[in-house]
Amino acid sequence: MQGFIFDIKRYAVNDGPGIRTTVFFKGCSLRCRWCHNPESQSPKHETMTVKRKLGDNIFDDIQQVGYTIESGQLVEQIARDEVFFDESGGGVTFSGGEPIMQPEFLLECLRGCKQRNIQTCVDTAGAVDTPLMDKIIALTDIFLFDVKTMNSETFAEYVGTGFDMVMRNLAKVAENASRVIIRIPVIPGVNDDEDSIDQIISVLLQYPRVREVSLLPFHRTGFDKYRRLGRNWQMGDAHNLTQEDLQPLNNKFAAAGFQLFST
Amino acid sequence: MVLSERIKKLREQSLNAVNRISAERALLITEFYKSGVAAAEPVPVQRALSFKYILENKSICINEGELIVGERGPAPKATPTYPEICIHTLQDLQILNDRKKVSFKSDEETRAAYRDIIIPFWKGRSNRDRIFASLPQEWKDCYAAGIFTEFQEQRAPGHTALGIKMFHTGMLDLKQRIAESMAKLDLVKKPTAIDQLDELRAMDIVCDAIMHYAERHAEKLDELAAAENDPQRKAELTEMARICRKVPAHAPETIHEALQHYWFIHLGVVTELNPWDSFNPGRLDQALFPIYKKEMEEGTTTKEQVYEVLESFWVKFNNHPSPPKVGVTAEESNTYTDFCLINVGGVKEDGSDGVNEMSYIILDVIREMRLLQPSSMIQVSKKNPDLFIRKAVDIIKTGFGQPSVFNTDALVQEMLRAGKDVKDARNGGCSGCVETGAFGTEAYILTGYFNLPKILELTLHNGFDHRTNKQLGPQTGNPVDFKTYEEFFEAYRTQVQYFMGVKLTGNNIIERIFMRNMPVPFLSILIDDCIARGKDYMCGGARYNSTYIQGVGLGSITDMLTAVKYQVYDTKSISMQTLIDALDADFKGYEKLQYNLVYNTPKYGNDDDYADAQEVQVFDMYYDTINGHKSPRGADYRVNMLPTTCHVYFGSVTAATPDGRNAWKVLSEGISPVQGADTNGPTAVIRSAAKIDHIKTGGTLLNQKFTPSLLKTEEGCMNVVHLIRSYFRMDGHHIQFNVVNADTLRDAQKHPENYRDLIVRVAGYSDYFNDLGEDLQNEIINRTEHTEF
Repeated sequence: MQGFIFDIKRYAVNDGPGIRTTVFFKGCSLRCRWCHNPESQSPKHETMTVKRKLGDNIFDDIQQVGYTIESGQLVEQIARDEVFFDESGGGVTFSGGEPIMQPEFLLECLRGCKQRNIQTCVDTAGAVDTPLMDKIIALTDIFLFDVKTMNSETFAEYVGTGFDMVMRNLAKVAENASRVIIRIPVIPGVNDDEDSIDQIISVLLQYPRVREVSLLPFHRTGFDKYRRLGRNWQMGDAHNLTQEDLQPLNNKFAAAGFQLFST
Repeated sequence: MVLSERIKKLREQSLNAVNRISAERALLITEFYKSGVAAAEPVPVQRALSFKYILENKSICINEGELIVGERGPAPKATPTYPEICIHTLQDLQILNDRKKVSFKSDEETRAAYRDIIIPFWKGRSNRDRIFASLPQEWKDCYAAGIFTEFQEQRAPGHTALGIKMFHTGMLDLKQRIAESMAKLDLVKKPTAIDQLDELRAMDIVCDAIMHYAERHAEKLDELAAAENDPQRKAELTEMARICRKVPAHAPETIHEALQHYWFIHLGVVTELNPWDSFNPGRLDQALFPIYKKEMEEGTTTKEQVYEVLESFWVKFNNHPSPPKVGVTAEESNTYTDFCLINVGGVKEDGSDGVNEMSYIILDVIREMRLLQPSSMIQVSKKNPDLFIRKAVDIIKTGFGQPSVFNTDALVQEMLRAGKDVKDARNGGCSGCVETGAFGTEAYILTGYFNLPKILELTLHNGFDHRTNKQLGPQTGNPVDFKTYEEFFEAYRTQVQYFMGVKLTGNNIIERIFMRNMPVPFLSILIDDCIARGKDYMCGGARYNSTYIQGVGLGSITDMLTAVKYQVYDTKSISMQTLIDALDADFKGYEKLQYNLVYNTPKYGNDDDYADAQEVQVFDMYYDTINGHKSPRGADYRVNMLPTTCHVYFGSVTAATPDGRNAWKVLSEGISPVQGADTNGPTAVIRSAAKIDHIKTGGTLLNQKFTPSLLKTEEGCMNVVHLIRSYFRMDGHHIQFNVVNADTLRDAQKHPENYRDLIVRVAGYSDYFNDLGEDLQNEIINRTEHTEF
C-alpha cells in the first residue's frame, strides 16, 4: 500500500543507535509550538519556496513537500544502506510527523524491513489511537518515545490535544516494547525547569523497563522553514540551548538511575 | 606520549626552515660530466660514478640535537635540482623565488652558478630536451591544450617503496648478490650479457658509494663528539657514529640502526635522481616490529627512546620538500609534499592480522608530530581490530588529513588480479597518493593525468578546441545529428581512444629515453629482481612492472554525460544545439538552463542509479581504452583514478560543461562527487563510489568531508569506523576525511598568518592551507560547506 512521506534521510546518526536511515512521515496529530519540522505537520501536499543562488543570480525554486510511496519501494530504498546498518548496529527509523498516524502503511514497512533483517525504530509522540498498536510494537526493535511534558495543562497549551492518549500509549509501549528510549525536547520556558523534569522522572520511574533517555536541546533551526512555508514562528526570541545547558537536567536523570543516550 | 624538548625544537626548526634552491648537487654533477673522467664508460656506470662523485663531495650536515642524520642538500630544506633531467632556467629560479605559494628562495651566488656553469653545460643535453626533441607535434598540441600531463618531463620515474626485506639486508649482502649475479654471466652463451654486466658493475659502485657516504657521517660525528661538552650528547654522537659505521653496510639490529639504515637508503634514492614520490619506507610497522620486540625483550632500549628516534626520523622527511617544479607540472602538483606515504597496519605475509604494538606507536608519532611530511596511511583489513581504526579516527578528527585509510583486502585482490604472487601482494600497499604496489618488488610508474571532461568538451565541438584554436581530435560528427545518447557516447569513446593513443605514443617514447639514458643503479639494487636479472629498474628489472595513466574528473564527466542523457535525450528538455550554445556562451543568457543543469539533473554521489550508470559506463570505457597495452620496458598499462591538484589545472583549460559548471572552474577530484553535488550524505556517496570495480584499478581516491560536529562523540567516531568498514566491504580502495569547518578556512584565507600549521586534506595528500592557490582554497571551502548537514 501507499504512504505519504516528505523525506528520507540517510546517515541519520541521531535517531537511534548506529548509522540509520530516517523516513519522515507527513502528518502529525500534535502542533508543538517549537516544532523544527513544521512541514511534517499537515497530512497534505504543501509547497515550500527555496531561494537558491547560482553565480550572481538568485532563483526561487518551488519545492513540493510530501509524496506518496509504495511500502515495497520504500523498503527497497531503506535497504540500500543495509551494509552500513550491519556494520554499525543501525537500521531504519520511522519518524515524522507522526508515523503511527499511518498505521497500516507503517506496519507494512516494518514487516518489510524485518523480513530483510533490518533493525526497526519508531519515533512517536504517542498521540494516536489505533487498534494496530500491539502489532506495531511487536515489529519495532526500538521505540523513540517523545515526552514533552507530564503536565496536562502545559501539554494543552504548547503541544495540542490527546494528553491522556499519550499517557496510555506510553504505558503500553513501556510495558511491551523490547526497547524504549525516551526523547525529551528541552524547551526554554516550557519544560527546562527542574520541576518539569522531576515530574517526568517520577512518571517514568513507574516503568522499570524504561531507563534510557535522551534530552534534545531547543534549536531555532526551524525558523527559516516557517518563513518558506509562509507560516508564523511561534517561539518568539527563545534562545538556543546547548548541551552544557542540559547538563544539570541530565544529572537529575542520571541520579534517578537513567542512562543517558547521547545523540 | 608528549614530545620531548629536543623533538619540539627539531620540529620547530623544521617548520621554520626556509625552502631554498641549493646549487650543490647540480654543480657537482656538472663538474663530473665536464671532467670527462667517465666518458668512456657505459651509461649505467657513468651514472653510478656520478652518484659516487656527488656523495663523496657533497657537504655533510648534522643538525643540532638530531638522532637520525643526513640531508639531501647542505641544510634542511636546501633543495637540489637535477639538470640532467630538467634545467631550471634563470627565469624559473626567479619564478620559484618570487611566487607566493610553494616558493624556493635563491641567492645571487646560486643564480650565478646556474647562469655561468649549470645552464650552459646542460642546455640541449637534459633528458627533458631529449624528450621534447622526440615527441610528435600532435602530442605537444594535446599537452598544450591540457588533454593530459606528463609526469616524466621534469622528474624521473620512481613511484615505489622499500620492501620489508631491505630492513634486514645490508649493502655488503647486496654486493655479494651482485657478485653472484655477475659470476653467472657468460658472454659467449649470451651475447647481449654485456648490458647486464655493465648494469651490475654500476650496482656494485653505488653500494660502495652509499657506504662511504655513511662513513663520512661517522667521521663528522666523531669530530662533533670530540668537541661536545655535554656528556649525554657526546655519548649520543658517539653512538650515532657507531651506527653510521654499521648501516647501511650491515643489516640493522636496533630501531635506531633500522631508521638510520632506511634514511641513508632514502637519501641515496633522492640524490641519484628526483623520482616522483621521493622514496618510502613502506610497511614501517611490519619492518620495525620484530626488531622492536627483540630490543624490548633484551632491554637494550626504552619506549621513550623508541618514540624519540622515530620522531627524529619524522623530522627528516619534513626537511625534504619535493624538488621544485615549474610550468604545467607545478600546476598539476604544486606542493612541498614529496608523497612519501608511510603504511601502518594491514596483513602479514602469511595473511594474518598485521597490527602490532609498533602500529600503535607509529599512530602516536603521527598524532604528536602533526607534520606535513611524511604522509601516513592505515591499511585496514577485515582481520584488523576496530580499535586500530578507532585510534586512527582520533587523529583524523583533529583535521590535518592524516592518516588516510586503505583497504588491504582490496589492494591484495588488485595485485592478485594483476598477476602477483600472494606473498608479494600482502607485502605491498599504497604509495604516493593512493597507488597500489608490491613493495620492494614492483616498478609501478605514474605517467600523467588524463582530462576526461575536456574530451567531452571536444566531442561537443567535433574535435575542435576553441581555447587553443586547433582541430585536436578526430571529426566525430556534429552532436546535433546524433539521434541517441548511445551515438553521442560512441563519439566520446572515439575521441578518448584517439587522445589515449597520442598519450601512449608519448609515454612509450619517453620511457625509452629513460631506459637508454637514465638508469638508476641505486634504486635498482633495492628492488627485486633487478640484481638477479642484471637489469635496471628503468628497464624492467623489477619483478613486476606497471604503468599508470590517471583518469581525472570521474564525478564531473559522469554528471556531464548524465546531463546530456537526461536533458537532451531522455526528457528532451533541452536541444543539443541549445546546450552547445549555452556552453559556448558560458551560460550568459542561459542562467535558468544552467540552474536546471545544476539543481534539476541527477547527480553522481547520491546513490542514484540513473546518474551512476554513466559513472560505470565511462569508467569501464576508460579502463578498456588503456588496459592490455604494453610499455617498452614490458610493463602493463593500468588505470587509476586520482588527481593530486590536477583537477584545478584541468578545470582551468576546460570550457563550460553540461553539468552546469562554468568555464575554467575546477573539476571534481578523484572519484569524489562534484563539489556540492552529493546531498544524500556519506552512505550515498560511498554507495555511488563503490559502483565501479575498484579491483580493476591500481587505486582510486575518495574524499569525504566531515565537520567536526560529526566526530564530537564516541558514537560519532565509531560511525566513521563503520563507514570505513562498510565501504571496504564493497571493495572500496581508499577513503580520506577532511575534518574542518568552512568558517575556520575562511578565516584562514583572511588571516593566513594565524594558520601557519593548518593542514587540510587536498586529494591523496595533505597540504598547508596557506600554500594552496586561492582557487583550490575556495574549492575546499566549498566542499566543506556542503557537508554541514
